[in-house]
Amino acid sequence: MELLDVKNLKTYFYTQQGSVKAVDDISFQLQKGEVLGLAGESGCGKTTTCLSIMRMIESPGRILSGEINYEYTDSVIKSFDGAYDRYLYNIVKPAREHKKESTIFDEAFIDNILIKRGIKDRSNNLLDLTEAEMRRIRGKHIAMVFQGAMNALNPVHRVGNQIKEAITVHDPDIEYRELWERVYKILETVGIDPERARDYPHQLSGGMKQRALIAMALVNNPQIIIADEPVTALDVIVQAQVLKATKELQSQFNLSMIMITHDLSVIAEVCETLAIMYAGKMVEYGKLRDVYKEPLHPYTEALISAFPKLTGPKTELYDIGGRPPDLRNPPSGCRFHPRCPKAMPICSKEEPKITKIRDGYVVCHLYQD
Amino acid sequence: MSERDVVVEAKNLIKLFPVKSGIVRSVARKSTTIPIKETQGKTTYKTLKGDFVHAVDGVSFKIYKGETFGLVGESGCGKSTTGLLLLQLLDRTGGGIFFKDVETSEYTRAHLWMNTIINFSKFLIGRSSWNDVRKTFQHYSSQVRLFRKNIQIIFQNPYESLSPRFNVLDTVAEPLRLMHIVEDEREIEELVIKELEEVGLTPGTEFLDRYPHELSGGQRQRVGVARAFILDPEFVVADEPVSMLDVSIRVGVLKIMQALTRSRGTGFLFITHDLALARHMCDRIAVMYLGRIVEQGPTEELVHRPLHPYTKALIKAVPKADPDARRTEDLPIKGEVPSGINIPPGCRFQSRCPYSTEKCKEIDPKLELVKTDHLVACIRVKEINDLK
Repeated sequence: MELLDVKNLKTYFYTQQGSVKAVDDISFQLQKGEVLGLAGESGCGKTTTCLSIMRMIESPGRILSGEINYEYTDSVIKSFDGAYDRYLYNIVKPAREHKKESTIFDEAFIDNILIKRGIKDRSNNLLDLTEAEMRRIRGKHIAMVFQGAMNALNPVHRVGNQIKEAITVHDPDIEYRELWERVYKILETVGIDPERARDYPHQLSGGMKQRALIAMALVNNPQIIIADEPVTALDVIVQAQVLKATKELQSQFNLSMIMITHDLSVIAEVCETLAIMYAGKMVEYGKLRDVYKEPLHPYTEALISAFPKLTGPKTELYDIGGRPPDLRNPPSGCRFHPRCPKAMPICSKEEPKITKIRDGYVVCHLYQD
Repeated sequence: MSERDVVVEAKNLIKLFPVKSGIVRSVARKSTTIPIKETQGKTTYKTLKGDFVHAVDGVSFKIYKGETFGLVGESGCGKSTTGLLLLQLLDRTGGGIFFKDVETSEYTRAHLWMNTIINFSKFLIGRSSWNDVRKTFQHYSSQVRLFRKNIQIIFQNPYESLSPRFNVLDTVAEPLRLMHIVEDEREIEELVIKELEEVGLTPGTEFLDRYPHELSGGQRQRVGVARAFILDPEFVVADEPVSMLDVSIRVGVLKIMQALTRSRGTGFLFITHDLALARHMCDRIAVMYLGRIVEQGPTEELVHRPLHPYTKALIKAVPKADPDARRTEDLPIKGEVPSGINIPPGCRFQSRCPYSTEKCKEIDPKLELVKTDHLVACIRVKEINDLK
């Protein structure tokens, strides 16, 4: 069984100018220990997909439909404990939420009791969880490394304290000494001198901040790490160092990772599977080598040949032309057809369906029977 | 060296930014001596007090007519500062910039007014005639204008470099109007349309009345390119022109810049942090580290056979766009670029260099010719690369 199974996920943003179909019918799987690269241009819905998995979409956005099945959801629900929940409320104290989720009359709460007594079965769908349950998944089971290390750390707290907080949220009864031992150990794992735990973020360099963020995500031994553009703002040499550290940690802990980036060469360096997104749709999905060496979808092909290469003979860069569509009213049929060099008459009329090819799939009329 | 026309030449260019310090520290200020000018083999020195960031510290290069010259380096190495210095958008601390063999400090407004005041006072005490005053003023002001006409810049961020209150016509026509080259509005419009179509905004007439918020990122940057090229400049600086653009849009803008510089024979300084991009755009590349050029050479030569340890590391660090060519071995260099304040003597790269010796801490290497057109600043370059 897959660790994470996303089925037909749809996330729309309801703005005054109309609904933006940011993520429209996306499906993919993630196995244990797999590194998935999610590539595409800005505005194609990469980040929205991952925020949807974390259930961190804020208004005006909404997850419309779909399933996000996580293998261990069941165990999270079974270990769900009202006392712990109250404890969390005391720490976080979101007054608004407190009122909304008065636990006793909550339907999901009653469901939980039924499930715990073995009376009712529930799916592994993360979208069915209550906010309090979801909070136990975030950070503990699925952790996220946010975009832009420069802004993701709180400037008025010491780095060590920020990492410490990630532990205490999930394990409030931990002993003081053990707590700090874990903080120091994780800092050492990502290659930061543990003494720097007392530093404020501005005292760290860009690469170190990024490492601190990775440490924060790793500290609870999560099953899945979602990294959103983890190396984009860094210089090449620092970038190479961070990537190398990430790769080593991934194999050391047998982590599953989703890596979002617009830079295909970063994906080529780290990932095993590759998913290409265009205008809210996943257009191609498959093993990295297959997709890279023999791209099937015209967009994948264009994207790969638009990247300048440093090795091999100098090749002419390919100009895709046009620009990404407006997601409020995307083009009819295949969303890539106005820019596609291989467009056929059918492309503008009918939406292509998923065609399964070599361990993955491609969504294009060229490959449909 | 080929006998082509040099458009812009930088000679030992220096730019120091003062570091502000408190009262206590300012008592024990250090002094720095830097060479300011070099005239007929004689070097003038100047001593400055206080701490400085050595943003650009002794950079020399030539850019020929019709050539694209790439300046590559990590952030904070001084590549953008160099570009701004060449355009006189920043005042240099020392060194010389020559635009077609004429020192550009003569093209500044300060120089113009100083000369006018000197002439005017001469006129007041009766040493020169009013006609002379007028003539020299006109000469210098036309020189300033000519210089400004011939150098242009394309900025990094198309979202900030276009005025939101100017439509495309006004933005692109502004250089024409400022330089009083064409006075007739109808003619200006025709020129603008022609230029817009040349940068791929077709049909040009449709874009004239649009404001920047109505354009996409790629279109904005094309407007930026049109604005830079409308006066047919002889030298253009592009400071990370595509780093804010998406991959699919980037290629179009790059191709337009390439076509324009080639067809018009413009000297082009392409500043970027991306070595792969520089390889595609440039004829020659210079790699900068902490305010110095460490290696300079023809593109393919530099990319495939780098000689300086820093360039080697930089090329190794670039992620390869090929799943079969994954990096397996460790990077030879560790850590990050040290601070540009109080740089120790000796080679600047010495603290991170895998080949560093005691000698490297003492000798500050000069940029020297190793092969044809290939300059390297490293005292051990021959040992490391087995060259004779």
